[in-house]
Amino acid sequence: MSQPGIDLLIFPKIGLLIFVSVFLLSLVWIYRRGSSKTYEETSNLPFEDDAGTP
Amino acid sequence: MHEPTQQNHLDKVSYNDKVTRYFLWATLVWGFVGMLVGIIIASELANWRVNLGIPEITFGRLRPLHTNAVIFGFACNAFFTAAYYSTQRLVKARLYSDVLSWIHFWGWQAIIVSAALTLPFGITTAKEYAELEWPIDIAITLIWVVFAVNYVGTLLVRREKHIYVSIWFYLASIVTVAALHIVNSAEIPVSFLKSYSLYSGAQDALIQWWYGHNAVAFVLTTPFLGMMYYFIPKAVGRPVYSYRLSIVHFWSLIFIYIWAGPHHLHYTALPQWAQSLGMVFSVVLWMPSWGGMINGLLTLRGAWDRVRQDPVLKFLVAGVTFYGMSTFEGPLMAIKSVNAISHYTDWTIGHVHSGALGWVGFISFGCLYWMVPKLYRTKLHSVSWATTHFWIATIGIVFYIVSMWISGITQALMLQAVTTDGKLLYPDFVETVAAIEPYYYMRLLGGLLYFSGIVLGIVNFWKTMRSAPAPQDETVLVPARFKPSKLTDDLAHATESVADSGTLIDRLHHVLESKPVVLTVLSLAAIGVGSVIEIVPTLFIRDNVPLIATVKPYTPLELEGRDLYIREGCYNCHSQMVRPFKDEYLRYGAPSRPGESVYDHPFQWGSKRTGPDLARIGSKYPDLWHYRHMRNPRDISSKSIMPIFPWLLENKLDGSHTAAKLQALKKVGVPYQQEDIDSASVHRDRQALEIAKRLNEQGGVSLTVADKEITALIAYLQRLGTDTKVSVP
Repeated sequence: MSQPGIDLLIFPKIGLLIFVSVFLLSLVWIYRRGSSKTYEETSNLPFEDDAGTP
Repeated sequence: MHEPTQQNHLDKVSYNDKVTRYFLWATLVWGFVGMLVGIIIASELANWRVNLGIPEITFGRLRPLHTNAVIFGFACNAFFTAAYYSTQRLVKARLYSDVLSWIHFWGWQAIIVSAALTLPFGITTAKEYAELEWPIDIAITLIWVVFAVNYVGTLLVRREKHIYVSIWFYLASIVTVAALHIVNSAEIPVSFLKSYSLYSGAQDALIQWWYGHNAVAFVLTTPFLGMMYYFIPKAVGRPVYSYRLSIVHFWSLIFIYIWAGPHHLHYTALPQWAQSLGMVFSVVLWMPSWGGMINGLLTLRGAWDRVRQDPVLKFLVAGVTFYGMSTFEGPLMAIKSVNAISHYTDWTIGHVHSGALGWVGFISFGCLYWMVPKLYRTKLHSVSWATTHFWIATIGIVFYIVSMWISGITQALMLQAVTTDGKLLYPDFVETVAAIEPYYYMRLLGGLLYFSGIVLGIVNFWKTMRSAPAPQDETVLVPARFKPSKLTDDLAHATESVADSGTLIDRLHHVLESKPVVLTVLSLAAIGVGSVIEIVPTLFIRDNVPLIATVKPYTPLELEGRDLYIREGCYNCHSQMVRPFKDEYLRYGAPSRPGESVYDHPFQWGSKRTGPDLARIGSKYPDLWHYRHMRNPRDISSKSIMPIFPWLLENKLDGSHTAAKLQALKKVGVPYQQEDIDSASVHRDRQALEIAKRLNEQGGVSLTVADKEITALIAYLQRLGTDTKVSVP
């Protein structure tokens, strides 16, 4: 499974590395310090219109 | 565009609820129509006589109308209703433009009407869920752009900085559906209502199922996840269980879903590497799907007792549960060894309807039962009717999917069964059809129950609206308009002021989250990776589809016959793809190869075998066999459930576009010479006369059959597989 100059078997490894890295980074992102307040505010957005009717 | 008025630092804004109400009614109308057509075609499968010998209501022509009406009529209108209702309230702004909103509404309904006016007449591209012809494709593109501009415009004039996760799902749906539709609908017109796919064979198959699977993902899943994340918290009165999990759910789902399409083509002539990618990503898809399901269900923590009384919660909770079941079953069926049993059988139909009726249908009705009293400022006419609707529909789904599981697995095992001396235990395909026929009645019963629930729901909504005061747009007090700054300024500010407030990553998140256009571009990038990696090599690396020297383009008459095959929707019941299994080799012949369908624009591999595979039907029977079979299949096989096609024996072949068809195909790479095109009519008529003479010799059929449609269809069927014919031992 190789062509001159390219070892195609390297691609699955690179792919796995990229996917795992992106997943871990996204976890770091969503659990970043101080994010709880933001998420709590945002998750309550559906209820803000309940009090807005004049 | 609506202009708000200033009042004590707060603005008064009225939401455009009128267009939302119109979309709501369109959802109900198309839900009724689409599912009624579903009942009719289920009846036709249970008893062929229901086809009535009328071309326009025959199964092959009505089945695409059913799928188009429920997907683009019912589900899309439900999405538009919920998206317009929830987004205005989440961003505290009226829809960007009233004019665009109404163009969106009327334009979309016109598209569904045009589907109803073309598909029963056999005007179809034969690509599943993308059957509409090129002028309607263009209209879909234009109206979708109107929707996108109106939606993104609403986000740009919003009065809330944060963009709630439901809107992320809606946005991803909007951009991805646009990309899917444009790429898959690339076609070359022959006439006003006839075109050929730009792609052929294996390439067309890959792109079609990249589209088809992601239509499930981005028309029938992500919009409804957006609805789940808004309406379950609203109905239960508490925020989503984990907002963090919803973010992981969003990015992982849209990134992974796009890769899974090739699982629709396992064991076909699609390159192996693409099949493997499709399988692996389908299995990985389990994780985000179940993450989302768990997040939806856990939102009810501490409030489960309310499900007993509230029909809205009943529909939403059962809908999410069906989502969990379907997204477990889907990856399971994508595993190649399981797919070897499930593919081409009713198991797939059962799986689709567990998602469509259970997930899409129940989430839609849960949201509608929530929105109708709000939009009409009154109480629901009857809570007990709504509860009855839920239970009838639930029992209906159980009948439907259980019957299809049994039917699918029974047929697959019968088809695969071989005797100890290596022969087929059930060599005649129709024996397996006769065995599963009772389940077709059971499926019909399930469909009737589900449909009855819908009728009850529509009457309930109607009575609710009748008792309501004159509907008005909801008016609210909202903060001043949020003015987004330039992305470059935001990024500079984010990196400069790290020391002042929050971490760099925290500030970058705010930048991303407050920029709908950036969010849209990133979503497009997420779906773009898988799309490019799967599609580009198949299109441009010649080794993926090696040519076979003996495979030649169709003759003019065969091409006309192929278009009749497409017009009658034969692909809805017959595949043209022999898989590399012993039973298929014994029953049909050698496995299909990619090079065999290089001139097939569009491909005709099919997705369901209600009847046997036709890839190698050519020269298997005499011409008279096909003539009698199309006139009445029971003359050939007494247990057949195939409809009759007597009009093919009576209608004159319309050959006015034969040369234009060859010309169009030449433009997309089929190696016709100019002399083939110039003499297309002569060749067509000569071959038709040869077939008429054979029919006359074999069964005394009048020579006048030469100019009838049946000769063209016979020419096509007799050609199938003959270029690479390998004798079956």
